[in-house]
Amino acid sequence: MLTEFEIQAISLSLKVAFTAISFSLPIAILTAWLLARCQFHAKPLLDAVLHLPLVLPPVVIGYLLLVSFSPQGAIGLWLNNTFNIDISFSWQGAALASAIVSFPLMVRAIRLSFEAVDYKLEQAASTLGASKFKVFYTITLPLISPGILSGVILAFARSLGEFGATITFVSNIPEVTRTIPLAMYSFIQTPGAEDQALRLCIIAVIIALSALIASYILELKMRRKLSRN
Amino acid sequence: MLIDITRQLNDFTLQVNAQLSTQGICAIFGRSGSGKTSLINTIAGIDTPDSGRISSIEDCFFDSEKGVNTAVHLRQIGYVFQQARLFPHYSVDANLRYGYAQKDDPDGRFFQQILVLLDITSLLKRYPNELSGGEQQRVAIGRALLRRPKLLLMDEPLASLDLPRKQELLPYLAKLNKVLKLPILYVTHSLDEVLYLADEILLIDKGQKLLHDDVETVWNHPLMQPWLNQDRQSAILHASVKEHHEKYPLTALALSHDHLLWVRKIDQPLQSAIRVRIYAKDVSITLSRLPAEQSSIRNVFLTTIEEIQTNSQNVRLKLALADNILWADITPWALDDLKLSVNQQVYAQIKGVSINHSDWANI
Repeated sequence: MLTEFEIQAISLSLKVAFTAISFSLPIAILTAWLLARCQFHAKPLLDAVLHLPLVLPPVVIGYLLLVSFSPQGAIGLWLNNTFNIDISFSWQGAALASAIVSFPLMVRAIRLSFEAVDYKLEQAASTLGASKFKVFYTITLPLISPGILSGVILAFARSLGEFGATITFVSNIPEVTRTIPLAMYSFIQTPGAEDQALRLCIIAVIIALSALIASYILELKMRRKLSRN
Repeated sequence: MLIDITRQLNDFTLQVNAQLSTQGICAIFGRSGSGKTSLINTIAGIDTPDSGRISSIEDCFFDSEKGVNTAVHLRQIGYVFQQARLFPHYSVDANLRYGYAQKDDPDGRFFQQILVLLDITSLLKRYPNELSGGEQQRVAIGRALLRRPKLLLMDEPLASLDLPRKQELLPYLAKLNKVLKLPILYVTHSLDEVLYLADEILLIDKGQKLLHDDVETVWNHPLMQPWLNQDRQSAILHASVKEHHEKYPLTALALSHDHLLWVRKIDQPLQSAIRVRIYAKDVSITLSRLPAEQSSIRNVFLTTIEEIQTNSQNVRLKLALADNILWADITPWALDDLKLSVNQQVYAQIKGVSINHSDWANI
């Protein structure tokens, strides 16, 4: 049914997206918490820098990543020397590009839900003897879980669709960095491969649709549990 | 519990210095926005005073000079808020167990006792949104108690409830203090709740302590008068249940010095200590005692006029009945006809039927 080529592209895309989200989620929660709950001077600056990937052309992000993470780049050199890691032109590099472009979307969604949490419930929890940490993971975190979910879904969608930064940073290497959008791009460039492009297009639609439906059901469940007040 | 704090609020400075008793219910009474909630917030640790000291017998929670400021969760002070603030994502059972340490209650007796005391056993499996306002507040009280606090703060726990729910909850609150021997600071602006629950009153206005004494003393103090509704001036008397009438649904309350006050039947055992409220409008004055078969009034006491307050509408007499104080409202016409003067002895008549179940409380 699916060709080996398609399976490769799909599994690579999913692998990149899941890796990107797993690494960026904890940082996104922390950043969202900082922005929603803390007052500090550099807050407007952090907010602006955070939104850069949303407004910059993806190719600029890709270029900046390429410059800093290539074996000659500052971070790339340091990574290579300290951990013997080289992520340029690898699927990890694609995950990094995905994580960066999807980060602002994730933070925005989580931040909004942080701001919506009733601080009075957290106050009540602390009068019941709960430390700040216990309050966070027993009250705050469950209450923001719908926000986390929608942040993850947004990031997942953005990651699956990521093209510009990825192709600039890690190029379009079969079996290594050729995710679904890159594979489609290759087919479109190839004369006579319109059918394959169409098939990939349908696959992309199905993945996106099922992710949205799954998140809708999950979110409904969560909200039903939380709206019991 | 010693409280000596200063805290700058938006409109005024909260400045209270009080030694609160370590048992019983102390009502923190005052208008809305007088700083009552701010005061107990500093005790709970939710808010930090600018300077001063808060300490109980064993612990010092706050001392600006020594730099002590114990975190909220380490103070062991329970807090019941105006709204129940139940955690919406937990069941009633999980809410109750949030601050509850099973190891301190291995056989679960305390847990059961609280369930029974507040009558919430049947609610355990439900979620907060499936409860009525009164049930939510009962669960919130149970949750605070199961934390085993050394002091319980209550911030107008009945204010968000309608009248039937209030009536439903009041007896539970009265039981709490008696059964658990837990000192309670109770913020309220309801005189009925003060009468029903409190042992002492801390009267606060614009952040300042005006009075702090037992209920009867504060109630009859001149500074308290602006808070007592002008049309419904009342006195509070200490009494004990002396006897129940054999034939009629009446109860005799012994005021001090063997004055017997007959009121509608009060279902309490003999000798129970009771606090009873008598409105000024229910007290009338005569110069001579009518024979009992010629008057419907059963309660006639010889009193001395201590004070005559006149305004355009009516005249208010302050009457001394042994150690107690009574207030009587009469018309200026009656004042002139009876030619009343201070230190004169008059008979005060109190209608027994005017005292109903909201005018007395167990103490």
